[in-house]
Amino acid sequence: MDDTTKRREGAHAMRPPRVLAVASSGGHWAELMRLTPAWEGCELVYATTDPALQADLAGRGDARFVAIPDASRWSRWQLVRLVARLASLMLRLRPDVIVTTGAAPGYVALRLGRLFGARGIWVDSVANAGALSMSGRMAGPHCDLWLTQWPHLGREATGASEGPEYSGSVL
Amino acid sequence: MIFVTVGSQLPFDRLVGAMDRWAAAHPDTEVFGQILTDGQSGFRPQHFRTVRSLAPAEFASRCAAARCIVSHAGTGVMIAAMTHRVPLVVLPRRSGTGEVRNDHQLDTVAHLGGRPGIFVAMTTADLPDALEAALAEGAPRPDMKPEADPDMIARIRAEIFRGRR
Repeated sequence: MDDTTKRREGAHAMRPPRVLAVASSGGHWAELMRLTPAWEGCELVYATTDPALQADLAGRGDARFVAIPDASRWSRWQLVRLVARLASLMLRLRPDVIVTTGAAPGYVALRLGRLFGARGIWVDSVANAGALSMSGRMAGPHCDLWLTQWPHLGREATGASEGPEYSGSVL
Repeated sequence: MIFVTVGSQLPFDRLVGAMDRWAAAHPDTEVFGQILTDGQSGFRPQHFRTVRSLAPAEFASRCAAARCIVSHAGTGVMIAAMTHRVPLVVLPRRSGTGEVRNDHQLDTVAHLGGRPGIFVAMTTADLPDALEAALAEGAPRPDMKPEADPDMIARIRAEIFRGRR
């Protein structure tokens, strides 16, 4: 390996991870905001369904913000718009990691991100205290880290070999 | 001011109707509601002032200024109440009535309802008592740490930085 290649690889290892953090507006976004120390020092892009939420990022460094269409009711047209928007984002940003607290748009982002080579982190909402959300169950097989916020739903408690981990909650 | 909010997804006429009756019986208490309906469609209360929706900053300032927040059992408003330390009364939405797709809010209150400063009304009949408790002198205020659990943050951080250094 010549010196140039070495230098280039070294630069890549030193470059901060590029993270795309996705959440629907409302509770999902509020939960995501409580997790921000997890990606301190990373290159951040936040995506959510309400453009006005950009105001929440004031004082959070130079994170970028993008508004994405909502697809909570899985309307076909909205879903097409969402996929197109997220796919163009993935192409431009090339994120290393997708992290999401749900709901449907987060699931779509996680699946698309994986197609583009990113790792995926699903944090099921603390609202889902009785059972994992539907998007959460769907996301499980497609993510690198799958978290529930309730100890009784974690795989240590359920004894299931396939299931989400529990390592605490946002509250 | 009592701040009534139904969140950002779907109207919640059962809650708004119950608060309308409560406001009629308590004309000296100011009630303000964010209810996702505008009177053209859906229920509009007669005894308190409402808006369809609020920008995030307005929502936060309403929460901060309220003596008590009354809402559905959504995590967004729970986090807001804990952030501003304002007593919160929640009425969980129920499926099968068009209020919500499933009964996860019943699970939410079963697990989070015991926290100080969160008063649960399982039905509209329980709402006046829950409100009275939340408005009482010296009622507990909800609280939380400024961030998520350190273990959870560390777990996510480890995954983000996996393979580096």
